[in-house]
Amino acid sequence: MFKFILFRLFQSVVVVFAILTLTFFMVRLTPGGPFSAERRMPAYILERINAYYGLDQPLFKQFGNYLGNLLRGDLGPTFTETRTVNEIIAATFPVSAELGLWALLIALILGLPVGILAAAKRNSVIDYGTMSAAMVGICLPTFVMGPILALIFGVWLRWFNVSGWFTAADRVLPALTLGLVYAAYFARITRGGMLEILNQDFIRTAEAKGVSSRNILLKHALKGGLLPMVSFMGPAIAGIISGSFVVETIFQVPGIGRQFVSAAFDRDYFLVQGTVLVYAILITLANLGVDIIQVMLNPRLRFEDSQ
Amino acid sequence: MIPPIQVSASESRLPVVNLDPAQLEEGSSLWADAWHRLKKNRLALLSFWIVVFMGVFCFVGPFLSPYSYIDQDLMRTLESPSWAHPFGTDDLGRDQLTRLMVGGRVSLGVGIIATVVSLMIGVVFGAVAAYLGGKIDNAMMRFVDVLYALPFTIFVILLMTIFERSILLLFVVIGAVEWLTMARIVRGQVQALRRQEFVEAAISLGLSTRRILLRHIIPNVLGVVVVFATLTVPAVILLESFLSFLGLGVQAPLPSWGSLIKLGSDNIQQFPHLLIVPSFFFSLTLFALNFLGDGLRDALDPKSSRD
Amino acid sequence: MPFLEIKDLTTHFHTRNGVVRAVDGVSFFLRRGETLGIVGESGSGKSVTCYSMLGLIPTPPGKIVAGSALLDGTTDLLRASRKELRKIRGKRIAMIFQDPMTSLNPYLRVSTQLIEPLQIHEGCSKKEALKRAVSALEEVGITEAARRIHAYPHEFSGGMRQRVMIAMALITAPELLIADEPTTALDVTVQAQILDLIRERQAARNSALILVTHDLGVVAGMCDRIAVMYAGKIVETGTAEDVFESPLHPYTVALQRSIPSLGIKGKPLYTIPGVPPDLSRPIPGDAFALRKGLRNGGKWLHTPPPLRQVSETHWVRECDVELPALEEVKDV
Repeated sequence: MFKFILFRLFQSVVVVFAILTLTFFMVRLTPGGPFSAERRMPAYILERINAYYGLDQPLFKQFGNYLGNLLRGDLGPTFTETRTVNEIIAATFPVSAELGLWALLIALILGLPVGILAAAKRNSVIDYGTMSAAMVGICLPTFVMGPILALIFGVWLRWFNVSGWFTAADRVLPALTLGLVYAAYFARITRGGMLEILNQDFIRTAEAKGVSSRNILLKHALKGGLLPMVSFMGPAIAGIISGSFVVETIFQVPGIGRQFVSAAFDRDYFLVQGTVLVYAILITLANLGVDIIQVMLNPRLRFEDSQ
Repeated sequence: MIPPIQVSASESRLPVVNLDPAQLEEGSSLWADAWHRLKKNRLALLSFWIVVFMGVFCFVGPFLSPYSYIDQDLMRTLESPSWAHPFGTDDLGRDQLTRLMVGGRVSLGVGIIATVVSLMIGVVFGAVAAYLGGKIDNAMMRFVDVLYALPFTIFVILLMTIFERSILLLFVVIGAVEWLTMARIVRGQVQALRRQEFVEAAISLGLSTRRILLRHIIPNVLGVVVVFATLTVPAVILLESFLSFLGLGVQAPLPSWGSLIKLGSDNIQQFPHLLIVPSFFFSLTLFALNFLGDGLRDALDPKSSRD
Repeated sequence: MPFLEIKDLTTHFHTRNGVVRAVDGVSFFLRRGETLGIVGESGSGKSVTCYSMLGLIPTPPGKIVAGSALLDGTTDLLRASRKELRKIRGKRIAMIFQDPMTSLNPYLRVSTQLIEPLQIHEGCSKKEALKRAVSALEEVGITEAARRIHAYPHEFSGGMRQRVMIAMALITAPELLIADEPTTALDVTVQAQILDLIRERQAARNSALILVTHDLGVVAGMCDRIAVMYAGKIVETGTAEDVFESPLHPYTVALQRSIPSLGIKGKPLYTIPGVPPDLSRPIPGDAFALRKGLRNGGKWLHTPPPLRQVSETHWVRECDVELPALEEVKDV
C-alpha cells in the first residue's frame, strides 16, 4: 500500500510539473505580448519594459529563472498591478477555498442521502421525483443557476445581496449555485452505484440471513455503492474549481478564479502561471486522495501489488 | 440443426428467455427491440420532439425573422417584450428573438460538430486500443489517463485566449477535450464484448463467420456510441456556453446562448427578461437532450437500472 | 404433521415480454431431518420455488400469486410479515446459493459476514460470535480458521468460499437448509467434497435439506425423496427408489438416460429433442408434449394433465409423450 501511495505522489509531482511547463510555454507563444494591447508605445519603452520583466531573454532561460524563483517560493510579479503574484494568491485563495468547501459540503449533504434514498425506494415516486429534480439541477449549469438564484432571491425577494463577499449571508447564493449542481450529480451517481450493488447476489445472501433493510443498505451495500461517487470526486473537485470562475464573476467574489480569467485575458504571464500552479496542485492532490480512498473502500484493489 | 442456446439470468431475477436459433442468426432484433422500447418511453419521445423543435427554431427561424442578428437600432435599446420584438432588445437595440435563434444555431451547431469530431477520434482510438490489446492497449490508455488528469477547462481557457477566436478553433478545442471519454467507453465496450461468453459460444456453435460476429459486436458498440454521443452534445453545448459566458467563445457580434445569458446576468436588476428567455431555452434544450440520451440508453441496454 | 408443507405455489414475473409463469401450482412437503431433492433444467422453476418460500423474489417484476407455505403447521411463509420473515431467515431456514464467487460480500471480511446471523438472531456479543464462527469454519474443514477468518472473500478459492457459505448457513443450527445448486459453479473434484460436507453437517444438526439441482447424479446418493420439475410444474415425485428404479414420467426417464456415465462409449450422448417452452405464453396443456421432435398421443394438449398417485409415496403427472429410443438419437 505504501509503495502505491509513494508512486502516486511521484506521479502527481510529475503531472504538476508537466502542467506548469505546458502553461509556461503556451502563454508565451501567444502572438503579441502582454503589453501589445496598450496604447501604441514607442519601441524603446517597450524594450525597457520587456527587459525589466526579463521577457527579452530566450525562452529556456526565462523558464530556468522561473523555476529557480519558484523553488525559493517566489511566483513572480504581475503586469497589471503592483502586487506580486504571491500576494494576490495569498489574498484570493482563501476566499475561493471557502467558497469551494461550502459548495462541496452542500453537494455532499444534499446529494448522498437523496441518492441512497432513491436507490432504496427504487421506481417509487420518491425515486422518480428526486431523480427528475436532479436532472433539472444538472441542466442548470452554474452560469444559469447563479443569475437565476440572484434574480429570485436577490432582486425579487431581496433576501440576499447579489454581489460581494462581506457578510456571512453573502456566502449563501454563490455556495448554493456551485453546490446545487454537484448535489444533483452526486445524487444520480450515488443512486446508480447503490443500485448496481443492490442487484448483486451477495445482497440476496444477506436478505436470506435475515439482515434488516437498514443494515443491507448501510452495512452491505454502502461501501461498494459509494465507489462510483468516490471516483467522481476527482472530476467534481475539478468542476467546482472551473465553476468558481463563473460564480466569482457573477457574484463579484474576490477569489482566485476571477484572477485567473482576467490574467488569461490580459496575458499576465506570471499570474496565469501562479494560479494554474495552485489549481494543478489542488486537482492532483484531490485525485490522489480519491485513489487512496478507493483502495480503502475496495479490498480487492489492495492486493494489486502482491500479485 | 443447430442446438438451441438458452439465455437465462440467475433464476430468481428473471426467467428464461428463449432464443430461436433462427432469431439468433438474425441479430438485428436488437435495434427493432430498442426502437420499440424507446417509443414506449414518453419522456424520451417528448424530448425528441423538443430537440426537433429547437433545431427547426434555430436553423430555420432566422430566415423568417424581419431582423438580422446584427441589425442595431439605437433608438430602441433595452426594450421589454413587445409585438415588434417578442423577446425585447438588447443594449444595442438588436432583436433578442433573432439573436436567440442565431445563438441557438451556434450552440447547437458547435454541439453537434464538436461531438462528431470527438466521436471520430475517440472511436478510432478506443477501438484500435482494444483490438490491438496487450502492451499497445496499455500504453494508449495510460496516455488517456494522463490527459484525463489534466485540468482541461483551464487549458481550454488558455487556448481560447492564445489563439484568435474563431468557430473552428472552438470546434477543435472542445472536440479535443471530449474524445477522451469516448475513447475509454469504446475501448471498454469492445474489450468487454471480446471476453463475453456468447462470443465464444457463437464461435463454437459454428456461428463463427466473421460476418455474424460483426453483427453482434458492432451493433453493441454502436449502441453505446450513439447513447454517449447523444449525451456528449449537451456537455459540449454546456462547455461552449460556459466559454461564451466568460467572453471566450465565439466572437461578437455572433451571439451564443452563453453570451446571451451573460448579458441577462448583467442586467437582472432592471431587465430580467434578458436572462429568463435564453436561460429557459438553453435549459430546456439541455434537459431534452439528456432525457433523450437516457431514454436511448434504457432502450438499448436491457439491463438498465430501471428494472 | 410435516415440517414444511407447500401447496399450490404459483409465482409470476411481469416482464417486458409478458407474464412469465415461472412456478405454476407446485405442492410438496418435507419432514423433519428429511432430504428432498428438486431436480429440473434451467428455467424449470426449481430455484424460484425456493426463493418464493423465503420471500426473496424481487416484487416489482415478481409476484407470488397463489399458494401457501406452512412451516411447522403454524406459520404461512407466504403471508408472514416482513418482520416475521426476517426472524425466520437465517435462523430457522437458511440458504446456500449457487455461485460462491458472487454470493459473498466482497467488501466485508469473512468474519463480519459469518458472525452476522449470530448477532441478529441470537444476540451474541461480538467476541462470543467470533469464537463460534471460528469453530464453524473448522467444522467445514478450513484450516487455520482463527487467522483466515479475518480475510476477505476473494482471498479464498471457490471451494473454500462455498465451505464458508455452508458454515454461515449452518451456524445458527437452522431446522431447514436449502441448497440451490451448491456445486454447479465448482470444479468437479470439489463437488463431491462439498456434497459430503453438506450431508455431514446436516446430519450433525438433524436439519432438513432441500437440494436443488439440474444434475440427477448429485441427487442420487443424497436424497430421501425427489421431486422432478418441468416448466414450472412438478412432473414426478417419490422416494429415491421410486424415481430412480421406476421412473414413470417420460421427462424423468429422459433425464436419467442423459446421464453421461450411463451412456455407451462411442455412441452419441442421449439428448432430449426440442427446447423448453416459453413460459411467457400460457400453456393450456402438457408443456412437455410441446417439445419439437417428441411424439405424443395428443391427449393432454388442451387440458392440464393432473397428478396421478401410483403408490403411497410415488406420484406422477399424466403424460402421453413417447420418447425416442436410445438408438434413434443422432448426432446433430
